[in-house]
Amino acid sequence: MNKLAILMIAVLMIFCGYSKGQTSNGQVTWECILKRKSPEEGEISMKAKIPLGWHMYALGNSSKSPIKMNFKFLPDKSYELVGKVTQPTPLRKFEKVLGIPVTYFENDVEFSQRIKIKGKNGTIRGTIQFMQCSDEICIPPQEFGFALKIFSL
Amino acid sequence: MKSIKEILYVLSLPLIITLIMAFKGFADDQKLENIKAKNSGKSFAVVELFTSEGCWSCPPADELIARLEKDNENKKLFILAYHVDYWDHQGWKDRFSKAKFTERQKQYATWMNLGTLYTPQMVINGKTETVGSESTKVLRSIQSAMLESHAENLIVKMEKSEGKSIQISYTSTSASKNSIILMALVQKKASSQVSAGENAGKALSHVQIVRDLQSRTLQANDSFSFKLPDTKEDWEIIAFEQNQNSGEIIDATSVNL
Repeated sequence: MNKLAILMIAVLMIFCGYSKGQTSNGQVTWECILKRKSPEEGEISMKAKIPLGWHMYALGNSSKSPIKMNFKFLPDKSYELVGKVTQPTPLRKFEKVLGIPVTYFENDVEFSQRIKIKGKNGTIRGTIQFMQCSDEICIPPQEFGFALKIFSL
Repeated sequence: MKSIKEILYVLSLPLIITLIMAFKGFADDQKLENIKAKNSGKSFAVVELFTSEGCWSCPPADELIARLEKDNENKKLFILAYHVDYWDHQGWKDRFSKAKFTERQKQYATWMNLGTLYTPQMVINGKTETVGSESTKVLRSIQSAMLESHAENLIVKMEKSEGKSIQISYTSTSASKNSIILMALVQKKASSQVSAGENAGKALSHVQIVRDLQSRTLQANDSFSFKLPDTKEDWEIIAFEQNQNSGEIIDATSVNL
């Protein structure tokens, strides 16, 4: 009987803790790596981990919406960009407040940028500006900076 | 015998949760009525909402302050909606947004040791903050703010009103050091026609929008000048004293223009 009471309290506590956890531990985290296909060809992989209950907006949303999502790469002698940043097919929903459809991701997403490597040594520096919202709150656009070293193969 | 009891206990759990959910809506309405009832005591609640038209999660918070404002008879309930500017960029702008409102939210983040900004955020009497759409929490915080008595020594008066220019004076006998006086020019109502693409023609309505905010060190008396953006709208000045170390709001009052 007592055990059951404790169990019930524990279950209720889990319910209480859930919504609080959304605001304090909801940070999207990034992991960037440089994949090498050959001495001249490479691909910058930028992976985002999106916590449960949150979504992150995708590339290609209307410029007339408040969504900010972009990638910037600092030009350097050692590499040049090939094409644009690519992303998997995002989820879509109609945003009532804005009256336009918006695209977004949940859970995990990998963006990639192909590059041509020109120098033997160098560093690719870039920033990712992204925006995340839960059902309850939106966090101001954030920037994540990265630096990837190019090693000669 | 014991096992039947145990089964009953387990079954009661979802039932309790369902009942709590159903009761929540009813309890919120009750709280809302209590808050909006005539208040003759020496208590007040300054409710500051940080919001934006560009924030998807904000409309429920905007609706909540609209419900608080509608038919409100409590003269000591002061509602301020600040539109922050961090969602703005070239191609999209909330016309009520200002950088100084974002600065104010950052100031609260410092006072309250918060790691990040977010919208919709509701701050009550400069002391407690909560997600602006969580009605139960918001209403509970307002109710507990209304239980505290204050000195009530801030008096404001409209000195001059010529076209769009107005001048507001105040007197205060607050002895507290490290305090500032803030005056907010508040537009009572507005609706925005969102012009963005497919959304053309859709209206978003707002209440208690802060259009200007001025602050100075608190003195025994002083006066502030404002320029009304539009004389056709209804306006209000909300004045309040705030401790610069803790962020706590010490006293508040308002005057309709």
